[in-house]
Formats: sequence, structure tokens, C-alpha cells
Amino acid sequence: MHIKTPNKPVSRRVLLFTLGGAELVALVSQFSNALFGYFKPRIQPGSFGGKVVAGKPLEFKKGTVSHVQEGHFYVSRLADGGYLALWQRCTHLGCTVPWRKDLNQFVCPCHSSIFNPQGEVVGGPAPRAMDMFPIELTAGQLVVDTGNPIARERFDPAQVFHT
Amino acid sequence: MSESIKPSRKITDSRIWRSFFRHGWPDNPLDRSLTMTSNVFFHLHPVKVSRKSLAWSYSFGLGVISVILFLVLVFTGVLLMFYYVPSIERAYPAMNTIQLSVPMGQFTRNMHRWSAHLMVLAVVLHMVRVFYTGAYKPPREFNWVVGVVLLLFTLGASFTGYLLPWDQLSYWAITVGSNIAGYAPVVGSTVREMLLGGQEVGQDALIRFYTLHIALLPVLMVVAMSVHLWRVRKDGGLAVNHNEHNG
Repeated sequence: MHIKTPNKPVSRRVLLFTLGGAELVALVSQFSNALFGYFKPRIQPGSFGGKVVAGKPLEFKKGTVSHVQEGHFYVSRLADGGYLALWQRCTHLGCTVPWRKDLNQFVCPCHSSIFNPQGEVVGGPAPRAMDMFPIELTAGQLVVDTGNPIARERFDPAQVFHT
Repeated sequence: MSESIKPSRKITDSRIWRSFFRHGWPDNPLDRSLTMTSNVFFHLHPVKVSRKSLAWSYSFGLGVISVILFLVLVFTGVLLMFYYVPSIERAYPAMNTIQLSVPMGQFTRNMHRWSAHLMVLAVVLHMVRVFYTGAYKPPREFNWVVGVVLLLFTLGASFTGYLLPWDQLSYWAITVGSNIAGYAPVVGSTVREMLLGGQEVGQDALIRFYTLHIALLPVLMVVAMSVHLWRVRKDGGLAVNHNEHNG
């Protein structure tokens, strides 16, 4: 077999067109990247999406669930005194899940998913436990980082925050 | 001045009239063609149509119905824009004002809502008609693709418009709908966040849906509709079954 390997030098025209084309591609991708940034959701500090102050640790009684409305989460204080910050959003299709004190459960009004105070699925179509947010103790206050939801399959004692 | 000239001729022979209507009454094939091709509103339409395709049961006029509904939606939509404010404090009260205190407001809003539902229905039925008459086959396969794009735009306009009344129904419908979009592989959660402007339906979602609904989607639909109608003409008008009289 005979393979021709023409060793022609690149013509000026081809070189310029290639450079011009590459420049155009760079321009378009830079512009789309900037446009993507333009449309990216913005977060106001201190409100949902940023770090939200939940309150002093002792404001929450053992074995109770309290709603922190501006942070869109519940603080669930378990019987052992540990804290969980549970996102109010149902893991099924995103409805807000109300806490039912009388049933000691979260019951979603949209498609009847049920969660226990640890956020575990007790019933309904929800595919996984309620998402949680990391908690930290800053200047004697529980501060919840609502920008970083943690998806989890089920409850694990290691997820609980202890002061 | 001759007395035999009709007064109407004076108008139709005037320079102003002729600048609008360049051709006289078309009484020959060339003039009939020119009537269509020299008019910006008619030129998308085929110059000649098959007699067979004029029977109403041939296409049920579903495409034309969709276009008429679109025009009704643009007209009533612009009327609604004079009162509607896309803010979470004012959207629902504005909708109430339109419904309860603006003269003909309830009629305008109901026209918009019913036409929107009917347009989704008409577009889907139009697609069904095209499918069952085999009108998607070459050389019309590209127009089928344009039609699918138009279907997606129609559904997009329907979905974005659904949030605007800002009541419980629209809020939770968009919450659930956008979360279904979030289940799409790889890009799902990004699409959801970009659409809502955040993790949850709120002011950012309302203004984004509003802008898509009143500006971006209608413009895209007009462009796609123009291509769609122009392709009908280029592909030789409505598809005709030439074998019908044989079998």
C-alpha cells in the first residue's frame, strides 16, 4: 500500500481562517459562560440560601421540632439532646412539608409522603430522607448553612449535631 | 373630466390606494400569483391550493385555529399587561382587580385563559391530524421538526403563564412541575435552578416566568411560526393524497 503524505505548507488563507474561527469559538463560549453567570440564582446573605441564625441552643426543647421560617428549615432536637436542621422541602416533588405535632410526623399535603422527626421516610412516594443542612455554633447561636443541602438515603446518628 | 367615471374609481386609481394595493382585481393567473407574492401578509401562504385540501374535513383547519388562538392570546395578553404587575405582593391583587373591577377585565382574562387551554388542545390535535394523514413524510419532514419545536414553545408558554396569577394552585403546580424538570438526568437540577432563580418558587421565579411568557417565548413562536408556514408553501401546500380516487 502506498500512502501519500503531502508535506504542503499551510497556506496563509487556511491559517488565518483557522485562527479567526478559533477566536470566534472563544468569543461565543466566553459570552455564553457570562450569560450563564448572569442567570445564576443570587443569594441574599442572612436569608435562605445563605447562613441563617436559628437561635440559642437551649431555645429548643428536647424531643421537639421547631420551624425556622426565614431559613426554610426545621430544627429537630432529638431525645438525646442532639440537633438536626431539616430542609422543609419534600424530597418527592418539592412541596413544603408541614410538621404535624399531633401525629409527631411531617406529612406532605401534595402526595402524602410521611417523615419522622429524624427526617426518615415513614410512608408515601418520597425517594429518600429529608435533606439536611450543616449546623455550627457561632457566638452561642446555632447557625445553619442553607446553601449546602445534604442529600441522604436514611438517618445516621453521625448526622446529629451536638453542642 | 368625464362623467362616466365612477367615484370609487377616483379612490382606487389614486396614488395612495395604489401604493397599498399594487394590483387591480386579479383576473388572470399571473395577477393572482402576484397578489400573494407581493404582499408581506399573504406571501407565506401558498399561491395555489389543491381543491381537495379545501374540504374542511381534510385538515379540520387545526393549524389555522392554532394561529387564530395565538393572535387572540397576543391581543388579550397585551391588554392584561396594562394591569398585571409581576411582584409577589401585587400579582394576585392585580389579577383580582382585572377580574372584579376592570370593565371587560373578566372577559379579557377568561378569553386569555380559555384560548390558552384551547391552543394546547388545537396544537396537539393538529399534530395528530398531520400524523394520521402522513403529512410528515418527505418532503415535509423538516416542517414536522419545526412543528415539534412549536409544540414545545406552546407548552412552555402554557407552563410559564400558569404561575402568573400567584395563587395556591399556580404556586404548587409550578413547585411540582419544576421539580419534575429537576429529575432530568445530568442537567436537571441546573435547569430547575436557572428557571426558578433559586431553590424554591419565589419573586425570582415569578419575574423569570413573566419575562419568558410575555417576551421571549412569543418572539420565538412568531419566528418558528413564520418558518413553519413558509415551509408549507415551499413544500407545495397541504399534503394531498393523489391515490384517493383510485382506491
